[in-house]
Amino acid sequence: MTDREIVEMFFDRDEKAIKAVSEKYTSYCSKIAANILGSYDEAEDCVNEAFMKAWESIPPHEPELLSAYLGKLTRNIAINTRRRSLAGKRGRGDVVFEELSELIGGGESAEQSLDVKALVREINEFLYTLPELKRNFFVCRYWYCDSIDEIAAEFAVSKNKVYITLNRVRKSLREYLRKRGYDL
Amino acid sequence: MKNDELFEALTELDDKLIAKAKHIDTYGEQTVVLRRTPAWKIITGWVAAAACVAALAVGGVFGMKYINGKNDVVSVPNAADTANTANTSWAVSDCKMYAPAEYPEEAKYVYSGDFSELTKFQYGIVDRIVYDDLITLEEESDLIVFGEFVDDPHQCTPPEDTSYYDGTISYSYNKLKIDRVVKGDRVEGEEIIICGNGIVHDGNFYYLCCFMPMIKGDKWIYFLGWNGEENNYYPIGFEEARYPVPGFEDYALDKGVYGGYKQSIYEDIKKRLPDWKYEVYFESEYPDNAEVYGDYSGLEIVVPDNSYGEWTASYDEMFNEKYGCEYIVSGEFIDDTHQWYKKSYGDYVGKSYNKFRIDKVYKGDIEEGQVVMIEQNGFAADGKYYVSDNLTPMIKGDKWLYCLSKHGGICSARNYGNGRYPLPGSQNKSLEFGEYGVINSQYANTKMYERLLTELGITGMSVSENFDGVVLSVMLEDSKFDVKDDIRVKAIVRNTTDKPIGLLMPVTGEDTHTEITTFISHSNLCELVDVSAANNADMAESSRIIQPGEEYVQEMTFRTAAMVHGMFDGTTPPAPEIETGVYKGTATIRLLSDPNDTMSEVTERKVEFSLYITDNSADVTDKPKSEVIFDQLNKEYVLKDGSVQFTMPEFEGAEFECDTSGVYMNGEVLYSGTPVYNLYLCDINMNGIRELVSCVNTGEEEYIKVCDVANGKIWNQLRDGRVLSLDGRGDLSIVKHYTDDSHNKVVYSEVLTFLKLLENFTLEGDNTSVVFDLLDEESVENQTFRFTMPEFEGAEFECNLYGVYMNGETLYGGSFIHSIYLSDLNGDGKREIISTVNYYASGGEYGIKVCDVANGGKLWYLRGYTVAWQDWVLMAVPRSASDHIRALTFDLLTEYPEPEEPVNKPVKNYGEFEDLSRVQGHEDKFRFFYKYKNAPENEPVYSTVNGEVVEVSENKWNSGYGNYVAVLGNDGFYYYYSSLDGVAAAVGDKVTAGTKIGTVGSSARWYIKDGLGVRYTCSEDPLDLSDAE
Repeated sequence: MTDREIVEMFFDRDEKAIKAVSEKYTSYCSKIAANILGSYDEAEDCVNEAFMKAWESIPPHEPELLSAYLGKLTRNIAINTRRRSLAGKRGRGDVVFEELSELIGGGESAEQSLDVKALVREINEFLYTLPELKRNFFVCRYWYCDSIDEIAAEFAVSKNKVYITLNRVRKSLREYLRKRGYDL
Repeated sequence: MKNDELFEALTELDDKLIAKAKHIDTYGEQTVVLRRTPAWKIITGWVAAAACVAALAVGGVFGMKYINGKNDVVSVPNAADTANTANTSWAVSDCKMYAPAEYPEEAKYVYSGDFSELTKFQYGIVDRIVYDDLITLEEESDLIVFGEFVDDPHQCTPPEDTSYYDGTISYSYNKLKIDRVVKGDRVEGEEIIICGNGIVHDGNFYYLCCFMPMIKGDKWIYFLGWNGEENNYYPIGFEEARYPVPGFEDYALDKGVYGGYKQSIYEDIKKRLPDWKYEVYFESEYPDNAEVYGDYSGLEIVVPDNSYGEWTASYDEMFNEKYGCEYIVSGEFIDDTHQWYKKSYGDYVGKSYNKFRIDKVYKGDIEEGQVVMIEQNGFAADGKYYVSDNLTPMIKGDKWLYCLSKHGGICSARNYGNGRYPLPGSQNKSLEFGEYGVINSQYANTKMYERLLTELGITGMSVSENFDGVVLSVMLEDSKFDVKDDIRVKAIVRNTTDKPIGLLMPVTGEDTHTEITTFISHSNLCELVDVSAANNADMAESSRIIQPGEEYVQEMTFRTAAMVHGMFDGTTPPAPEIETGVYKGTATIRLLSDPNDTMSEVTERKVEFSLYITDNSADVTDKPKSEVIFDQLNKEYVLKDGSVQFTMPEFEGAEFECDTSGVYMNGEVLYSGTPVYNLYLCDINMNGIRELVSCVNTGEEEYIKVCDVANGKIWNQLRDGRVLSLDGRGDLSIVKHYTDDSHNKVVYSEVLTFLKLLENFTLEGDNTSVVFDLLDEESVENQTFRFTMPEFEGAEFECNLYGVYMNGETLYGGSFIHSIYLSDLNGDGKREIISTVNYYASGGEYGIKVCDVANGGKLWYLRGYTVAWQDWVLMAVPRSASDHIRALTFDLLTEYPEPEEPVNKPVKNYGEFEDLSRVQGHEDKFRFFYKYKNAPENEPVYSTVNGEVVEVSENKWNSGYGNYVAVLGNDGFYYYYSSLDGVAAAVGDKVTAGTKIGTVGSSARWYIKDGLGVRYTCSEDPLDLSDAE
């Protein structure tokens, strides 16, 4: 079933839409959640919640890319779940957080309230200046929380290349943001 | 902003970025992420092709069209139908060709754009025959051609919905003009149509497997089979079917996709090019973006981090036919360098190119006089010369001896500093940047250079220039001299014109040669002096006339002993501070326009030359020579008296003994055997200290054993019937005698070099070893490495990217540990644990940490360096370009301060104390990091210092710290008391040690088993623990 057909089912309030989206995207969304939470058990609840949120939000929202929309819902839920968890189980997200801390140097922006949307727009723009491969590395690592191994295997490159590329992209992003007044 | 906040913010990245990072498709019922290169290879036979085709129906089907030789379109049955056909004698693929060269009617859409801007989507699952070698590929092919696409691709209509591909993709076509036919019935110049499963649509390039787009101007070698039933050709295999014409490897790659062709077969193809009468392609044009750069004088050298090339290639390897460089030549740069550079992620990157005329060939199939393009990582910008492989600039007129590797049409020095050497006697203008053409000359392999010069017969030197028939030459006996040597220089002026010439000799009365004024000086103005001048004072007339066909020869002797800084004193002892290194020389003549008139116009002509002066006095008598102590396998060296005692100057005071049962040093066994067949001494690793080499029978096996006494290492390799042999040059060879299939006696001999030792021998015993090193591309994430160290009996060690542990206790942590080595740095006989770590708190700075396990786990550090392992020596590699790489020794390290727990504790009653100061990057941020756990309910928490409360937070996550109170102590440090249940202080409160500030709790990210307690940390800077709203 195509994404378009699934979205049409949402608009028709056909409850089979949830079954369809579940069949098609459970695996995809589970991975996103599990990477953040550290276990597929915890991911399952997040994914179910994400599908329910999709049911609640489509319509009126009509996602252009259903996979990205579901992925974002899942990611947000997983992040909130992680935050609430006092057990502090270490998922892949913790490793990724530490890498992202390179972008954060305790600068002045840390003290001010940040226009997060504007920041993300800048990051989007930065990513579009990159060659496709480097862009994909960044998204796979910091959005999907893929491991270095997984990224290397998916793109058929060496792990060292992934690691060094990510290092350089982080450094460049920091410089890019700093020049635009974002001293994170 | 905190890092988890940034992580969360990234959720709102652009949808397209998110979607395109993963290629998602559906197979069966589930969405899966496709790999971008085929991860499957199934080798099948022709007989099994039917089963493969049937399998396509399940895995992902795509239709195929065949076009027969008469330009009729024939529809290929779908997979379901194909399973029932007998026509399974072809491999499923995407390329077909037919003649005459007409595009199909449906190929209406021409794509003339840039493929590099397209997002690539690969699809399709296929079972197919896989080719692993060129011989089979050649045998199976009916047509092998070299050709060039002469058109933009013509595409058929793209399908309506390209958001979801199940394999039904459209086709594109392009004309390939055949440049050369290697096999088959086509003719050169013929144009044929190639069809590909790949189209451009809506900013994307959709394609099958790993084929490149067919781009105008691109050149390929195709392997094609003939389908007699359909009257057409088809490619043999997928990525085995086509290869870029050498020189065009990057043409489509820069614009194409992640795969393309099988590299191993491609390497074999390149070796077959001479058989295929394909002329090797040498680039003759500079890149479009390269601009001329001529003046390198006065540039500051900038060497980026980790310029760490391969320095250890040996002479034998360079000449090895299979693995060595392709060409060894000498020649001259005939042009100014052309270079480009740009900023990439804040750093300069760039390359330089220069045309190099080959004057003499020592290895490789290339002609003298051929001009090749040499590429080098180095460029000038903003008054600086940026290099990444330490090579000096390529300057017009410089002459070099090159060991060249070739990539496509471009040549480059093989192995950086081992790939290029100044041609003795040439001007070598670039040598002011570094000796041997290497900027960081400590890495130049001078033994390679000396041997190259000797073996290739490049000894002595001469420089000569013809000035309109007046030939001025300078000849030296050699290019390299010791400080004690006399440097004899012969300068010659030869008149090849048909008129007399006159060399002006000013009438000064000085006892010096002035017909050919010759100076030799070091860069710091130290000048050699012609000591023969006093004995050869030429008091000739004011001009020396040379008749047509005659020459004037001036012989001089320069001596460093007479060298002074600007002044000549022929009677005093040698001047101090004799400079070694490169000396530049000039020989100048002054030609009179009227040979008989010393007042006539004078034209100066000069030639330049260079030479090297070294100081070998320190090691002339101590230089170790290879020798054979005994060899029972060689009747010349059989032991006569049962044992031999000997000494080795490199081990002062040590007494060695050997016999057929063992080799001993000061009575201790170095190694033994039943028997030890022989003993040779040879400096294999070129460290100036000889190793002991033997063939040994251990009772179970026979080995060739290399004992590196200096470093306490022993190497072994199975002997396999081989013997040792020393040649006149002092090289130790491993020799095998055998009889081949034709009953010919064969002797195979291979010099034992250090690289051969590293590659073919195994190291015995516990020595420096690596647990993991990310730079070695080992997969370490999420892995825990467990190891033991015999010197710490019973101890179990574990390590991962974030910490090193001994028996479960943390030895040290790091924000990111890049590598772990074990080596005895302090010489106490027990190895330390050594790591390269990242200090995130310092903005990502790198450093080295050393844990002295034997000494209570004391930590030592060296900031600004990383660890590398070269030639079995741990090196400290500086991050700063202005510093030098050096061996990692203990004296470079600084002892880590021990965490100091203050006398005052924050709680009086508690169950357990845990010191986490060294875990997971804590030591980068904290002076100490303690937990007081399992405290009684409502137990008070006290300030431990005098100071002021600067932060208080309740009822927030606070990055996992929970409720906390932060006190800025009068000592300037920040003390955080966190995981509290309740706080009892406010910002601004002045506190003293013992002031109650809260009660124990579990509000932090706290394990249940830890109960109630307080997390107590101290740092130089305040922590940012605030949650975003």
